[in-house]
Amino acid sequence: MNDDKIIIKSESIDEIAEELEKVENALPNRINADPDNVEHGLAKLVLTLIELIRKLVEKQSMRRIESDSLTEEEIERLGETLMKLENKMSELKEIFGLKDEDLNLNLGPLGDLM
Amino acid sequence: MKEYKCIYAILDSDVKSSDHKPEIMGLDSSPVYFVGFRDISAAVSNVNQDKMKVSSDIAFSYEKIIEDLWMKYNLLPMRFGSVMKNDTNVIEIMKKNYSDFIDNLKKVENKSEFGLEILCDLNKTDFKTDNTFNLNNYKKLKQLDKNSVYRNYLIDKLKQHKSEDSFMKKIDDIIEEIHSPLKKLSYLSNVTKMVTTKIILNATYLVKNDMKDEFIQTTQQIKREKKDLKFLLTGPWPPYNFVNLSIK
Repeated sequence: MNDDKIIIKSESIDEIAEELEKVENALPNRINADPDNVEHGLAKLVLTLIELIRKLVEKQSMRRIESDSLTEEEIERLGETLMKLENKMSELKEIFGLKDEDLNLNLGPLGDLM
Repeated sequence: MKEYKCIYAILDSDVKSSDHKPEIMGLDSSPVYFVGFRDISAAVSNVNQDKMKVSSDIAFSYEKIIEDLWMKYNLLPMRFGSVMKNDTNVIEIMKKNYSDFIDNLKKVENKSEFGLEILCDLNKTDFKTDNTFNLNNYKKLKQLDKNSVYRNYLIDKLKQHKSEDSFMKKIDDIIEEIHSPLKKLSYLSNVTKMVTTKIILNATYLVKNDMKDEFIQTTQQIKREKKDLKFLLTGPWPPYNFVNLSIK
């Protein structure tokens, strides 16, 4: 960007540029289909999507508890399900050698997935 | 190498006559010229296919050409990579989309676009969110067996959820304080919240040219008041983010 287009800026705009790059890199442009690591690339993509859905389910569950629309039994079952889901995700990440930050997605108004 | 017509913009003036030459060079060092249809025109130049490869240098050159045209004419910028086989195809595009082009040209006439990014370093900002959690508000959860791991797991999750909600409410309040006065000074605006965990606001404003100074001064005033936030206001730009049409 030409400097003459910058009207107001705080001391450093480097930080903003770095942040904007994160948006561009929020999703990989393509799956790495190299025969040696296709499994890893695919696992990363699939687990990212599963983690997104898990987070959404978790968020919705909290809203259900807050709205008092669940019975005690349902709440307990929900806690068990959410906990097991989270544990299972941790296992899968370990199996494929993935860290939390590998499954990150920029979700706009929701912020980063991780 | 096959040659194409690169379209930079649609203009609302009938400039197809030889009296009007933009005297601007296109991407492939070929002069930009106008192709007219009724009272609108397309600014085009000849390009070789390999000149349309995506790179930041070419994208900046493309933007500069649009910018130079915008200094002289009211226009709708075309998306980078808009190419047609020949002038006849360019005329066909204008013919099929004429009314949409006219509507959009009227909308952006005598207006400029400004971009605003607001960055908040949450580690440095004194951000007082509501972290109070009262289990008494969740009677059914409270009544579960205290030794249940699931009960304790849900309590931790609820605390986290409440904290996140409180955080988002604070962010919404800050955004409202910034966006509300600027929205009043603009003709149209687009706002995206929390583009990343640091960029809390990414907004574009379409501002009437006679309101530009007031818009900039107001932004400066807001910046002075919000010392914890980082501001980047850019412009004036051609109306990149305020053209709504699907080319037929």
